[in-house]
Amino acid sequence: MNDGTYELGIAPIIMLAIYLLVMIAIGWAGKVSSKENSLRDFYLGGSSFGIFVLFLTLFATQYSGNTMLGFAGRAYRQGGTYVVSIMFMVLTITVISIYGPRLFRLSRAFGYITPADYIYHRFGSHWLRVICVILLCWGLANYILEQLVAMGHAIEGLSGGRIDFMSGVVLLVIVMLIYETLGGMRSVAWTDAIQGILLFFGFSIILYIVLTVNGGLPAATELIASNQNQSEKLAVPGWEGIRAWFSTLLLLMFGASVYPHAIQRFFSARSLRTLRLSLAGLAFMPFITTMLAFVLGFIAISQFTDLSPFESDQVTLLMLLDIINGNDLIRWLVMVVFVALIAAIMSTTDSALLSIQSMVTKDIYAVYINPEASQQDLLRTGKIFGWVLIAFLVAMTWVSQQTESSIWLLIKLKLEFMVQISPVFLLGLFWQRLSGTSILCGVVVGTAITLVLWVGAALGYWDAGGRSPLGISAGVWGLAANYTICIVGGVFWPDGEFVRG
Amino acid sequence: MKNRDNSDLPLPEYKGERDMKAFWQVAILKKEPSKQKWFLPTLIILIIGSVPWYRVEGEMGNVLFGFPVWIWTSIICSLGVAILTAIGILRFWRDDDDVS
Repeated sequence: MNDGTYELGIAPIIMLAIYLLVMIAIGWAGKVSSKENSLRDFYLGGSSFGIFVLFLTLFATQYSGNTMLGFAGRAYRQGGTYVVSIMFMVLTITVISIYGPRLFRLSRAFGYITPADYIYHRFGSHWLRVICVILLCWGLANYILEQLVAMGHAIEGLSGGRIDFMSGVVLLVIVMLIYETLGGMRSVAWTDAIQGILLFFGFSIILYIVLTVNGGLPAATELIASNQNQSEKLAVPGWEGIRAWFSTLLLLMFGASVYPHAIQRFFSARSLRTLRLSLAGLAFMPFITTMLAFVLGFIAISQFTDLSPFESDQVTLLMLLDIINGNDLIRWLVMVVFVALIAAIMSTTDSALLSIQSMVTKDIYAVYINPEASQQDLLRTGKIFGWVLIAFLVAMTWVSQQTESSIWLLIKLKLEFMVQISPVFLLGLFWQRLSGTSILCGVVVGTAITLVLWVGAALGYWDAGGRSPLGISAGVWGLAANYTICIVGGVFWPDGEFVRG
Repeated sequence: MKNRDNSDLPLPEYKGERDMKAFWQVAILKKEPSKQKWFLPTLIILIIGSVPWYRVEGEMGNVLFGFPVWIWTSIICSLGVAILTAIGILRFWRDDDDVS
């Protein structure tokens, strides 16, 4: 195992500097290409993205630093059962293919900018709109926090420790804010396209490493099977593991399919055809991304023993550092993977930040605080809010470094709440009887149950591996209550508009 | 609804209006993946098949190309869902005004 000392010289710093300068140049190009000072132009790129940009921006947004770091770390800790990650990433697109056709058509007809535009249009409830925006922003803010932590690790790894964790975070955040503030969604999507291409390269190189280094997968499996302490990671799970498996599937397939920054990319599509082709392609991406992260984490089981949860989140970096002192080709390939990793993290962070800005500006500020605000005022407010929020999150990142926390824990906190929004789309778009009151009750009760069960699990009231009762995630219990309330409400107290016909 | 695909018509911006008749006229599609009778049952079968609940607890089983067979089963079910999703999107997601 590598002891963490290696010498790459100044080459990776130069590579990083070139990458960051290209990002700023693209941000400037996005500003020059903007057609008007409007919310649609800034937050949706004027709804003009063709297949190339749309596919790559969806790809780069869906696959984050967490895929390369957190997923591999989880596979290391959990073993074979984390193969579930491939299915839940595919299912995210499957769920989108169920509600997406209707939402896309509505967005074209009525001009939605944010998911909350649909929510208010469908249900007419101010409370529901505000609660959904809070839940979505809460989820996205945690999502950004997780990406910032990954940024620090990645830049430390790439620079061989020359740039420390917090300096790395601040540097990348400043560059991201520059290009995002310059051109909004257009800049973000164009940089996503470059970042998506880098991500493809990064995963291809990981594939090469996985297949060639230290005998690849077969040798790793043999080693794991022969080690008594590790061999259980190859075994079929018991009923507790099976329940956790289904719970993870439900949480991820319903939670990750309502990410607002992904929904806003629907609204950015130039046409239905470009959206359909992009989504169909995305359905297969888990096999070259998530699956590779899974295999990488799996192989790491045979190479590293007894890593803490915090250390295991860096298992991808440890694997790369372990081979970095090989030949020159490998050294260069590893550097490209590091840059791809930084690209993946930045592309997800900028998309999530832009989405929060748009919701706070359009759904809260423009409706409840300053209804007379012009488009310029709204854009300025959104940008200032984005800077303040990211400054706060960078400070939180520093705090998180003082107390070791696993990346997976942060993801959980995000999805457990965000998943409560799913009936708003999956029932709301299909069932005319469903009223705003029913869905509001469902979302509030679902969120409250999630919170209570989550706190109970954190305090150790339920002895199920840190999870909620029966080893099922708190968010899934909340979701079950949420859907039950919505369905009962729809059956017995139908929407007034539906009754009137 | 006017076809806004491939046209230079500027899109409107939602300002909080609530005409539910117009909403449902636009929302209901003639053809979409979830309306195919086989779509959801096939999806559920593949999801359930991807979880190794039917195998003996604690056993590793045969190893094929580096992975135990139960892991490959899950991966193949995931591939099945990806194919199902792509077929649903490409063949059964149609808009009345879709010119493609």
